[in-house]
Amino acid sequence: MYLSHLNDIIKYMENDKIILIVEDEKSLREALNDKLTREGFTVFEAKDGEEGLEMSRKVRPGLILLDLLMPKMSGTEMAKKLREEEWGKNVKIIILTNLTEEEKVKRELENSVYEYIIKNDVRIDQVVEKVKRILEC
Amino acid sequence: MKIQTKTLIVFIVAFAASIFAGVFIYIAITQTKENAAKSVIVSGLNKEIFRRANLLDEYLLYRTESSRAQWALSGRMIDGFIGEAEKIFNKSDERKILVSIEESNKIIKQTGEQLFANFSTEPDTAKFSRKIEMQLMDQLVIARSRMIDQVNQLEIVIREKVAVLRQKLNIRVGMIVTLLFFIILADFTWIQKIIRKLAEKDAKEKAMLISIGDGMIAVDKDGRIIAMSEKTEKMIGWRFDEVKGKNLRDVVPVIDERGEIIAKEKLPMYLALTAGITTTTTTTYSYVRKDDTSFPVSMVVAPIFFEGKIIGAIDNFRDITKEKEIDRAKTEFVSLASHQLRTPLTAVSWYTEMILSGDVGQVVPGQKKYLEEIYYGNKRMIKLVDTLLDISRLELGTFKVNLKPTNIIALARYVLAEEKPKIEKKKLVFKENFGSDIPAFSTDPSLLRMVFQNLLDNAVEYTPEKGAIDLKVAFDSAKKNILITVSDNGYGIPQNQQDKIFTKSFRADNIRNYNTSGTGLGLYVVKTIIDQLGGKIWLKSEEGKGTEFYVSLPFK
Repeated sequence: MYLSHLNDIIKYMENDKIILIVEDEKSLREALNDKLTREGFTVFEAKDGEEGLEMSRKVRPGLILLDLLMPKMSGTEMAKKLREEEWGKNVKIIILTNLTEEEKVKRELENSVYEYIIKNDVRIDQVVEKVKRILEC
Repeated sequence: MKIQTKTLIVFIVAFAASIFAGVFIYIAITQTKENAAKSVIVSGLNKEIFRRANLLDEYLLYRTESSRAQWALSGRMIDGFIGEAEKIFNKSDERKILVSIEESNKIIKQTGEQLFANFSTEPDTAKFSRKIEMQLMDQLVIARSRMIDQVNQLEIVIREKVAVLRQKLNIRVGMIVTLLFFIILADFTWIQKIIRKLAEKDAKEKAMLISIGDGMIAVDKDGRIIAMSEKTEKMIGWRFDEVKGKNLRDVVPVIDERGEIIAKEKLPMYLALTAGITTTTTTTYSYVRKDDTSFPVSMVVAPIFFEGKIIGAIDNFRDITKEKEIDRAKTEFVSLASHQLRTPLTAVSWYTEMILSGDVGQVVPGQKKYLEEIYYGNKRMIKLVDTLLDISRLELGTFKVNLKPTNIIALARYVLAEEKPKIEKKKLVFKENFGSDIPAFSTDPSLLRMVFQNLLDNAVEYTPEKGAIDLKVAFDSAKKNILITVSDNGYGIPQNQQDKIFTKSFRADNIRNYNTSGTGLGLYVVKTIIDQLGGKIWLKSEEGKGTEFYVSLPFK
């Protein structure tokens, strides 16, 4: 189906142009998708941690925008699982969060490298800027 | 009837009774005295009559001049008695007898004189015969016995009178004793009633006091427990008789939210007893029960003044566990609601931003203006929701104070950088004065950041364009504290509202017009944080001239 078709294309793409958005809120997910797509990225969506993990194995994104509070599997859990896999060790992650979860995340992902965005503190173009900056380096 | 009236009546009755008894005793004594005098006169008279008779006999027998002289002397004595009698015998029956006595006395005197004149010491040279002498003698004896009779009669009359008086006196004494007895009895009953009433009043007042439906503990001027309501016993677990006379501080320790015992000098009770200050608290204090558990209280502690002096203090308190629970539930709700609001607010923000930046086609100027209104309105909501969340976290205690060695100057500069656009926009003159010797100290940087943010935000917000703002940070190594001063020459805070400025949702009247979007939460947040960091905050402000906020933090 859709994914298996894409698989071939993806293989030939530079994966630092591929971004996976894992976010359960449809409105936020689509806003980010639209914006990043317009900026020239190839964007994939997942609506929970489980789907996100599955999708990331398939599309091997260069960057994952990861929400924390999600049904089925939380963002932190997904990040941990990702880091256990060989390819996933170095995937760049930007955690999308609400202010209150900062401390918790720090505790749970202490050995993992990630960036951090407080959703309602930033403008969407700031998200884009950050994405670009991270993918460049 | 009032107790005062009753005691007055008791007093008047007792006073009247004693006056009455006094008058009676006086009359009785005078009457007795009079009778005694009368008796003396009568018996004297009697004796003298017999003496005079004897003297005459003596004369007739021995014919000596001395008998005659003595006879005349005795006669004068009798005259004297009669003269005295005339003064005191004033009743008609007595007077009648007295007159007849006087008559008899006159006859005796005349007859006696005749006898002595005519029958001198020499009976042989007598001018008269023996027969005449005998006649005179007879006359004399008759008059004398009549006089004796009359005097006896007088004596009888007086004796009768004495007897009657004595009887009367007996009856009167009886009556008065009975009367006094009843008066005393009545007074006694009344006094007892009064005492009972007073005791009852006292007991009623006590019952009133101990029936107060809230916690109530009264102490004397040394802080020793003198009364408590029955409800208090249930609340603190101590019975009154167990703690009576003991120092309240020892019986019911007061602790703060962290469970630390409040110092003696800070206790509302201490303030009431030493300075006469009435304190009303709402939260933060808890009372420790007998079993070492505790409960939060809201209390009013007031001094008891009596004749201008503090004689003790009274503590009215209420268990506010339920209120605290409700408050917590409310805060939890606010926290939850704010959380839920964040996602849609972010969505609105991001989509509006994308439209505004022309991502989905050209935006015409009219649309742009409206979209900007939506965007900034939404920004305000985000800020408000953030503040609400901060508050709920502070109140719920989920904001754990996270102490870290902190460079306060770097922190201040970081916040200043955020404020800079606003400062520049209003053309404010900003001056900073950071001590050069401030070492890093242990505090919570994220909480302290909120303090800087709010204080600077306010200074910028409530100072008109081209005004001045100062930020000073100094280290006092002697006092071991850090002093932050944020001052402005803005609108200021009205004097009468300065004490309320740190309460939740309070906004001073004078700035409501300048800025309608304020929430009244900023300084509440600051105060809550400073409390948690163990610091102090105070201010100096004058309306129209500016405000200075001072924050002192412990240097650890």
